[in-house]
Amino acid sequence: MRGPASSLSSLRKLADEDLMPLVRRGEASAFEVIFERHSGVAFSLAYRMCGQRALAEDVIQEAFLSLWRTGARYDRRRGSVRSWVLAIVHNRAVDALRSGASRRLRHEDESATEQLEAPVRTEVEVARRDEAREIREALDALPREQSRVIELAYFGGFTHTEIADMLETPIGTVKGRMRLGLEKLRVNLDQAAEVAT
Amino acid sequence: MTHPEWENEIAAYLLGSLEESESGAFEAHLQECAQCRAEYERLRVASDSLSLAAEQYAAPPAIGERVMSIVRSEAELLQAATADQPTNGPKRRWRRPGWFGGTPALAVGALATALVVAGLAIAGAFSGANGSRTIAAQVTVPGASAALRVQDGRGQLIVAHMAQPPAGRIYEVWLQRPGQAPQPTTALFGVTHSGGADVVVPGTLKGVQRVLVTDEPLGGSLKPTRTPVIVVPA
Repeated sequence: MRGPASSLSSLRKLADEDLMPLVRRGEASAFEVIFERHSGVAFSLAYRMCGQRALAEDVIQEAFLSLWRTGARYDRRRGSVRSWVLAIVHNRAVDALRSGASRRLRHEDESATEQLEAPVRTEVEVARRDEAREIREALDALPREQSRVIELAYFGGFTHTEIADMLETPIGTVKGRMRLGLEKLRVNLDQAAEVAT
Repeated sequence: MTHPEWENEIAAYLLGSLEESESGAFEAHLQECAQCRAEYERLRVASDSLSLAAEQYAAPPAIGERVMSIVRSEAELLQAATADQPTNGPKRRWRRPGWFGGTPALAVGALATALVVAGLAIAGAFSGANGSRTIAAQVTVPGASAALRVQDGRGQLIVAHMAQPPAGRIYEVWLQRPGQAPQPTTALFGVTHSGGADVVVPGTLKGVQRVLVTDEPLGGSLKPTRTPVIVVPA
């Protein structure tokens, strides 16, 4: 019989999509591997959105526990496990941001300097940081009015109505900028990928 | 809404900026409109990439310890709750006189319904290393399981593979003391898509003989109106 350590090491050789059926059956070790692989990127997204370490920790804790308890919802035809994890984290972070108390905390905390650890410099983590940098560059290359509505919506958790009020711009214009921005971002990412190859 | 207007909703939806009611309407439209689905998939590549754009950090180690501690504990509970569950075994007769001590009329109906219970799970109890005690529940819903973890007189009910409560109803947790009718608690819950729930039982379990769960109208009831679907001898 294999011990827990060897069991974990053999699970680490499996792809995410092969681990998910085990998670669905309640195998904690399979879930642990999923957590190891995606907790960094999940925390980074939550921290980018919440701007506060404690809140970001709460968000990813809730997100991963929800993932553990609802593993059956994962459908590989609709995307990777990482995308699914990040979609859950994003939804949880938006919920946190839309609660008044969290927004207040975020503003109070914006000036605070928090010590966060950079990921260990493994090959995978270096690739993750490079990918993040490329996407930021593609986002920065958008016209300012487009990147602004995208950032307010996606990272700020604001609704299109709130953004329209904030920018004193008609709702239709805000939605139009979102669409043009995503379209342009897709083109920028395609071009970056072509250059890389 | 015209088609171009729906198309203008796609980016707002992908960025999570629609109101809840608007999202619901858009999702319904997406089911019907192949053109919008194609555009949605095209733009999704860009919106998905945003989740990876943040400055990258390692997750604080403490969060991993916290999450995995809860996950391992729940995995153990579920294992305990399902260990002795018959899969295709014979149906058992289940007698629980005195569930509704204070409501005899209801007790008659409840017993009549409960005499034959499909997929009844009966398991024992075990003690955890941290002084907690786990008690497997009797569950009337075929394929479902539940367990009560008791620590320091407080209870946590873990439910798995449970059916959703009927439309317009919600599960309610009751505490029953010897010779008394079940007392309502503030714990009302639904289950996740996969039938899971993790419910903190309010108050202390001191003197409690059974923890029960019934489905009740939304908002809960003061007296059980249905036969319990979960019974835990506390």
